[in-house]
Amino acid sequence: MSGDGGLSTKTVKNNVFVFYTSVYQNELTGETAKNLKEFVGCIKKIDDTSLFYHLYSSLLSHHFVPPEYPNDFAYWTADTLQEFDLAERLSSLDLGKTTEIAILRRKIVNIIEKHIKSNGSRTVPEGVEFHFLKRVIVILPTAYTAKNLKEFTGVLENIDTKSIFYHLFVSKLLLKRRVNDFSLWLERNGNKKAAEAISKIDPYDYRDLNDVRKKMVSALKEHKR
Amino acid sequence: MVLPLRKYEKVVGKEEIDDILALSEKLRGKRIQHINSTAVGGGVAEILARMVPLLNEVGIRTTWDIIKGGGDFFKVTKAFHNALHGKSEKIDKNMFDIYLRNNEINAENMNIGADFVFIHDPQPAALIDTVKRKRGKWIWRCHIDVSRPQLDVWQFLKKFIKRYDAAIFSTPFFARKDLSIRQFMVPPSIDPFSEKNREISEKEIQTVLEKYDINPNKPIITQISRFDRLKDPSGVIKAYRIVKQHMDCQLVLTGSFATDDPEGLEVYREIHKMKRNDKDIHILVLPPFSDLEINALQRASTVIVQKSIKEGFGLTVAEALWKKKPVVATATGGITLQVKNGLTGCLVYSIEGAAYKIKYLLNNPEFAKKLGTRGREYVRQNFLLTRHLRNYLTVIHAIENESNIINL
Repeated sequence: MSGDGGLSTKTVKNNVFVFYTSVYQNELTGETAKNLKEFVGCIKKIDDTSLFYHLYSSLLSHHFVPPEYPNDFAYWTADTLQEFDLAERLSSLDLGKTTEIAILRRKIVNIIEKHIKSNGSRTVPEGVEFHFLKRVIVILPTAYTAKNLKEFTGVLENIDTKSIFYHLFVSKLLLKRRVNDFSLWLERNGNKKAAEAISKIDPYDYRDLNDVRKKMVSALKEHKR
Repeated sequence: MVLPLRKYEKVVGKEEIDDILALSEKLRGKRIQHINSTAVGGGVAEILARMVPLLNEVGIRTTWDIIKGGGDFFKVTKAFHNALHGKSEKIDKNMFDIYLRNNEINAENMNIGADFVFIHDPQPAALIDTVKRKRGKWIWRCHIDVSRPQLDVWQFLKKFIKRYDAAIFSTPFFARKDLSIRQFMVPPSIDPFSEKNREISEKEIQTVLEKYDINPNKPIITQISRFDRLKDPSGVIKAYRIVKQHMDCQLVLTGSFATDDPEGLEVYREIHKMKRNDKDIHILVLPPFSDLEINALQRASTVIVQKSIKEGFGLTVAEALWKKKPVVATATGGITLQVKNGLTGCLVYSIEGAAYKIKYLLNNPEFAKKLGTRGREYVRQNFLLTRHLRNYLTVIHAIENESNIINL
């Protein structure tokens, strides 16, 4: 699957960056949790797309007000369990540095198990359990390509946020490339600083993917070779 | 008339339409058959009437068939419907026999078979067992809340449902742990260009108000739903009476009778009795195809209520939000997907709660306006027909590929 430097041969053809997009279908797992013990038990066994869904899906949603918590796990622990300190820890996962879902899973399990040890595991009433979902991801081509930094920046400024989501997170974590597609291509083209700046972006620091886009474009302009 | 897919671009954006076309490319020439129990009345028929032409437009040969049944069959399926929603119903062996016999008769008289057969709701669910040869992939599209069903009915239906290749539910809360088939989440949708939802003129609105003798200068509280106890029309009248003690207003309860719902007339009579001689309560029975009138009544309303006791989704909520109306609705089923309390509408749990929120909205028009504006945007992003179409295409790809990551 991986081509030069971890980039898919489909994403880069003759050093031209080919933009893809992805559409999503929610699938129900039937797994639910009514307390932290069940919650952490499910987190240990759900598949990668489920973990990914609950950590990243909020980024694709429109928010009328800035979200108090950036992912479903933190939101449920605060809103339903009223375990606010746990919710804050689950909001601080440093996704920018994360290269593998397995690492994220271990981190989350550790945070919750540590919390259970000192705080126990309260059970919520029927109807407000946590429902685990997963995502089917369909990857589609777009009409957009870029053969140099100028074109790349131009496309990035306008392309659908689902395309940004795909290249930044899906390819890195679910296609197991460990680094996002944008940074890989930029580094290969000698824009090491811009590549590093994009790699470091923690999406939880931003309201939505449009803000992430702005950050990336300004990084590209700032570190232009 | 359903508009060509590209016409939706101005509402949902070019990317959404491009995605739909890209998803449908590899499915061109495939056949889909939808089967449900009514051609008019209710959300399923409304959606199919809009969805089928669009599926055909993108190159998937799609047909829509309706099962037939007598009064006894629909009495049984209505009792099943109530029981699956958790309402206690007396179900005996004879009722199961009537259900099965009708499914068998329909299977004999219908040409069933396509690459993908979508069976909507419990009424035709047993077709999978009675059809001579199961061809293609079968998907049970459940529009109702089966999270806490009466067990005898669910166990009976489950025998058929577990034979399907996949099920589709409207919300995550309806997922069943006791089903081993794949379960997808696809909320229903409304069509922004349908007669019920398109923009209409002030004159058209006024004409409808005049026709039904509704005062345009007095606040209008409206619930539009089938005459069905699960929609709690009597609860709406009680909430209205609490509001009426504090401010002058009118209540419009608009409903219709669907062919697969034999309880409608009984419920209509009950609420008519409750109305007594209150001239500010308007109980309107609209025949099928009264979409323009519903559109006008929704747009004329000051507050729209959906006081359902159980609700699969509640398309009337999406319709109201699309028209920028403040909505007061019960926190049940799919309504909670649409109404984010205090952001896109008000969620309530009781008659008193509904009355309190209605009063608040009538007294705070600026807040009501804000809810309505956000509500429309929320529907635009999540509950329009194009998203629904895209979901059906992704479900088909998912069933075909059996993988969670599909590269087209």
